Amino acid sequence: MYLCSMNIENAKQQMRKGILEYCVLSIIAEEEAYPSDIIAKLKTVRLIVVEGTLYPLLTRLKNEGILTYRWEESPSGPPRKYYRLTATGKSALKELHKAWEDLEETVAHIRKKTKL
Amino acid sequence: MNKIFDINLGGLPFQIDDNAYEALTIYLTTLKNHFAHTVGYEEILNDIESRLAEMFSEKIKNGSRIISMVDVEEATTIMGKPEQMDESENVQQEQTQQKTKEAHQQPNEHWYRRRLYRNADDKILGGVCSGLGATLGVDKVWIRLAFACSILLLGTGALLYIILWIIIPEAKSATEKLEMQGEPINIHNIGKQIEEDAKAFGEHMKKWGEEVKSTFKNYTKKEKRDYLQKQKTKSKSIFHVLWRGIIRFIVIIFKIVFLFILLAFTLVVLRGLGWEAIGNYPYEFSNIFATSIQSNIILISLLITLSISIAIGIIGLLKYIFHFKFNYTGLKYLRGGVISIAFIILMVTAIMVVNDFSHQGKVSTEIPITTVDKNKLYIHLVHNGKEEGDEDELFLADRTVSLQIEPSTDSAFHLEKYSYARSSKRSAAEALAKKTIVPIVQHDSVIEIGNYYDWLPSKKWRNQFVELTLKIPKNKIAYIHRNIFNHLDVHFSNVYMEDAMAFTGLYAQWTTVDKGLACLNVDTSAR
Repeated sequence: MYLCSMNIENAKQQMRKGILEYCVLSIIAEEEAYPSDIIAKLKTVRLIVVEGTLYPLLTRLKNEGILTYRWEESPSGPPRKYYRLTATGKSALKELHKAWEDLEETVAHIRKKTKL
Repeated sequence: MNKIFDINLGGLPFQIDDNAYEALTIYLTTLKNHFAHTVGYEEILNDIESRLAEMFSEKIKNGSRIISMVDVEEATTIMGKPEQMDESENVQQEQTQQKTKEAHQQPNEHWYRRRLYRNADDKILGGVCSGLGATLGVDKVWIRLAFACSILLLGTGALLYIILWIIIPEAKSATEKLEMQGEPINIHNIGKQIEEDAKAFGEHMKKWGEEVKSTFKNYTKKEKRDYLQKQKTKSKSIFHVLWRGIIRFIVIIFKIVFLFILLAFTLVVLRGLGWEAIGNYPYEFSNIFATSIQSNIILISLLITLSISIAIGIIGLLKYIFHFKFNYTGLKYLRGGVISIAFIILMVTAIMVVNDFSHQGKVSTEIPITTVDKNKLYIHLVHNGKEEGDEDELFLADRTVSLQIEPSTDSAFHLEKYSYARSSKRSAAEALAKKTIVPIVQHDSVIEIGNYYDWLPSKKWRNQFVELTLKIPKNKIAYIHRNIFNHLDVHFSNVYMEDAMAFTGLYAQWTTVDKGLACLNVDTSAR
C-alpha cells in the first residue's frame, strides 16, 4: 500500500562489493603488486573509494592462503609488502573466472529476454 | 604557535603538530576498536600505519617539515573511515535501511488509524457488515452471521442494522477505502508491537552472544574470565532491574496499607483515652485496655512510628520527584528500629489484652418476683434508652438481653439472671459479671424488662453478656407482650407445640402443660 523507495546507490555498492575480491585477484595475477599499486589500478576503473578497504581484504586473503607476500625495502618510505598469488590462489582465480563468465551469460540472457 | 611531538609511525620518525597528533591518535584508536575482533587485526593496523607513514613521507619530501592537521585529514580521507573499510557492511547501506524504515513508518502512520466505514464494494445490503468486519479485523462473514442470528432471535438486529446503515458513512474515496483497511489499533496490534520488540530484543541478545563468542577466541585465559564476569553482570542487570521494579511496587503497596492500619489504630486508642471528637467506632477496641497507662504507651509508640514512617515516605517521594541527593539510610535504620520497638510493644499489649479475656466468669442470680398476683404474670418491655443509632452503638457486643423461657420445676414463677464476663482470672471475671445490669422493674403483676443490658465499671468491655430465664409453672399463665419478642432475643426450651411464634392479640399467653410449654393463643390463621 505504500511505495518503498529503492536506494540505487545501495544497489550499485552491492554490485561493486561483490566483484571487488575478483578484481583484486585478477590485478595481482597480472604481476605482483603492493597495496598502493592495486589501489591506483582500481581507481582507474573507479571501483574503490577508500584505500582502507583493501588492507583488511588483502590480510584476509593472505590468511586464507590465496595470497602471499614478500617485503621490499623502499628508499623513500617504510618497507612495502608485495603480494602475489599462491598456487591455491591461482586455481581459486580460475574458478572465479568461470563463475564470472556464467554470471555474464545469465545476465545477458535475462536482459535480452525482458528487453530491459 | 603550537607544540610538536616526535612520533614513530610505521617505523618512521615524524614531527607532528599537537592538533594533528591528537587527530591522528583518535583515528588510529578508532581503527583499532573497529578491527578489534577481526582475525589478524594487528597486521591490518600495521599495514595501515605503514601506508599513512608513506603518505606522510611523500608530504615531507615535497617540502613541509612538520605533519600538520591538513596532512592528517588528507591522509585519513584517502585511507577512509573505519566503517567504509569493511567489505560486508557499509555505512551507506545502513543509512539506506534507516531511510526505508522511516518510509515504512510514514505512510503506515496514516493507515494505522483504522476508521469505520461502510464497505460499498463488498456489500449485500448496505455494506455494514463488510465495513464492520474490516474495522474489527474480523471476517465479515461472522458479522453477517451474528446479525442474521440476532434478527432471527428477536428482530433487534434489524433495527440495529438500519441504524448503523444510516450512521456509518460509506467509504467513497480511495483514501477512505484505504483507511478502512488499515492496521487496526487494538489488542492484536499492540500484541504485534510487543512481539516485534521482543524479537528485536532477542536478536540483540543473539548478536551480543556472538560478539562474546568471537571476542573469546582472541583473549587469553585471564582476559576470558574478566570478560565473562563483565558479560554476566551485563545480562543479569536487565532481569535484575525488572525484578527489583516488581518488588519495589509490592513493597510500596504494603507500606501504604500498613500506614493506614497504624492510623486507624491510633484513632481508636485516642478515642479510648477520651478524645470525644474522634467518634465512636469501634467502641470496644477503645476500652480493651485494662489501664490508661497501657493505652498511653500504645498511643505514643504508634504516633512515633507513624510520624517517622510518613516523614520517610515523604522524603523518599520528594527524592524521587526532584532527584534530591539525600542520603537517608541513617533515617531508614532509625525507622526500622522504631518500627521494631513499636511492633514489640504491640505484641506485648496484644498478649496482655488476650490474657485479660482468657477466663470467663459466670454468675447466676435469682431475681425474686415481687408481683402481687402469683398466678399470672405480665412481662413488658421497657426501652431503656439505647436505641439503634445511639452514639454508643457497639461493634462487637450486642447488648440485647437474651430471654430464655422454660417450664418451671415447681409451682411458682421464677426469674433467673445469668451473667457472663471475662477477665484474667476466674474470680475477677465473676466479679465483673456481677456488675452487669439489666433494668428490671416490678409493680403490680408486671415485670418490666429493659431491652439493653449494661455493665460496670467504666464501660470496660470484657465480653459481658446477660441471659434471663423465665420459668413458667403449670396452670399459671405468663402474658408476654409483643414487644418482648420484637426486641429481645427470645428462646424457648421444651416447647410442646410447634410453630408457636405467631399469636393473636397483644400478649402471648404461655403456660406449661404435661408435655411442655404451650402457647394458648396461637394464631392458627397464620399457618
